[in-house]
Amino acid sequence: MNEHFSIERLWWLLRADFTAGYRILLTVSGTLAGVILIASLISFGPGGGGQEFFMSWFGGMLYIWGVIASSRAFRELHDKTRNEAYLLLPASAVEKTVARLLAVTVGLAVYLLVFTTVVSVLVEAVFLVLPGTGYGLFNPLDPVVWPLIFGYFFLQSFFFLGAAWFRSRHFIKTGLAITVVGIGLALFIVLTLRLTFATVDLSDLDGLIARAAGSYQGLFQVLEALRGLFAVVLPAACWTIAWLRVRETQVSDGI
Amino acid sequence: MLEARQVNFGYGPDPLFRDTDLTLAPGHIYGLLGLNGAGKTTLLKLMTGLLFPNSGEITACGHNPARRAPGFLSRVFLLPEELNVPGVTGKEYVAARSPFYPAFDQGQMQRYLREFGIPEGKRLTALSHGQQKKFLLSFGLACNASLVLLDEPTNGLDIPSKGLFRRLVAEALSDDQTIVVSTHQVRDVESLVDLIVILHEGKVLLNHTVSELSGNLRFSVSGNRPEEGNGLIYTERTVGGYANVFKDRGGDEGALDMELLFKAVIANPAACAALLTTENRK
Repeated sequence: MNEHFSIERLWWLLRADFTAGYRILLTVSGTLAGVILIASLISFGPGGGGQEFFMSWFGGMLYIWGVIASSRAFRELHDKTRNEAYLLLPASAVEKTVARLLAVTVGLAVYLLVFTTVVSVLVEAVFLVLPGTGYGLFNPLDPVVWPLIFGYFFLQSFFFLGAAWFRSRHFIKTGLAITVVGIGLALFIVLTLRLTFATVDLSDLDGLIARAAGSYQGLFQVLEALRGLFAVVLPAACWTIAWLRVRETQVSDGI
Repeated sequence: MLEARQVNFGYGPDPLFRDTDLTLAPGHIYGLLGLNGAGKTTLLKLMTGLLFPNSGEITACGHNPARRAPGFLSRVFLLPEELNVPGVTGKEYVAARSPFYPAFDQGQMQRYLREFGIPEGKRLTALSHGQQKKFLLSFGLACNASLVLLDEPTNGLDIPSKGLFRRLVAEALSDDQTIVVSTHQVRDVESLVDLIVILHEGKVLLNHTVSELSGNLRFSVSGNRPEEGNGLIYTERTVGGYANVFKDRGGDEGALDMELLFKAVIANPAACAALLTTENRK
């Protein structure tokens, strides 16, 4: 038996999670479908609707639902009455982490693409029956979808880590942690730049950057590559730390 | 099946276990007894890898439990005292969880549920606490795990179910299985367990078979308080007289009063330990 990773066990975990959560998924989906339908009826007018409307809904759902779902990804882990069953489920910490990660990243993104498409068909049907004119369908293959999804994967990695790391109030604590670290980093960078370029006139910052980009093209390419690397490395680091946290978690209660 | 050596563990600065040793053999049902706070539940959690010892070594089913390897977890089942079941039906629960246990027997599960009278199609959250416990117990026994740990399993069970519980657990035991029943309800498991482990002040005070204990100790009730000496280990006032525990080297195996034994061991650990050391055993 492979003690670290097995596709079969991963599938069982995903299936078990789906079994436990599909009722909530259906309830939330039904509610959202109703809200989208009402919103489409309210916003109907010349120039409105169609792809833009559904894309904004898709993005909103992906980020809001996704971040909340990521914050709750390890809800059993720190719940004294449920963590025993979760930790004793015969699967490795890697499998448990990957199962939850897949559910709140790829799983949720694919589900929302399908869900938004189905809702757009429903809205289209309602519009064809009521006002007699179409509303426009959602195109899940629109290239705009990809940056949205990758941006979400980047953001959710922090909340995924927060879900494993913090014992309670995962969403709020992660949000606060991101804010504090963000402010700290921003202050550090501003102070460093101000001290480094103390003699430089920064009143025309845009022009300065444009001239620098022209003069130091290589450096800017390196910085751009670093940004890409950062976008991959940081989520990977968050997911890895979340796995380590799951592996090291002990139940805290009772004699 | 399970071996703990020199285990040290504590939640804070005060240690709960100090160089604790324990060996559990396969083919037995152990009764794990101890006062409140003695560490019974903690010991079960150390055995399953839910807690990690500060030092020392635990080996269960050939694994280090703290690693929580799937191969180990698929051979262990813990029925916790406090239950929090998911909001799924019994069928969904079995379908989702049974694949993780290679020795799971669906036929056994159906039989246990039938005997306990648990409806499988109902959501688990809609069942009473006792029914939830019976459902999880059925699942645990049907997993045919090598190490089955039951924490206060009879709490919340009605009187007929307690008898049924004893019968099903006794029937389920196989030669390569170890079942540990941690409980305060000693009367509920008196006729079930064949080995008794008593935890007290961070140590295992007793780990003996019921047969050994019955052969070395005599339990009696007398109208008057017995005089010290004559092998008296423990006495206490009870309804209608005194309940007593005596050394009994020459007598036949008599009935074991587990509650009285527990009190005797806790009150007089040194005497009991000396009596039950290998050289002093009958």
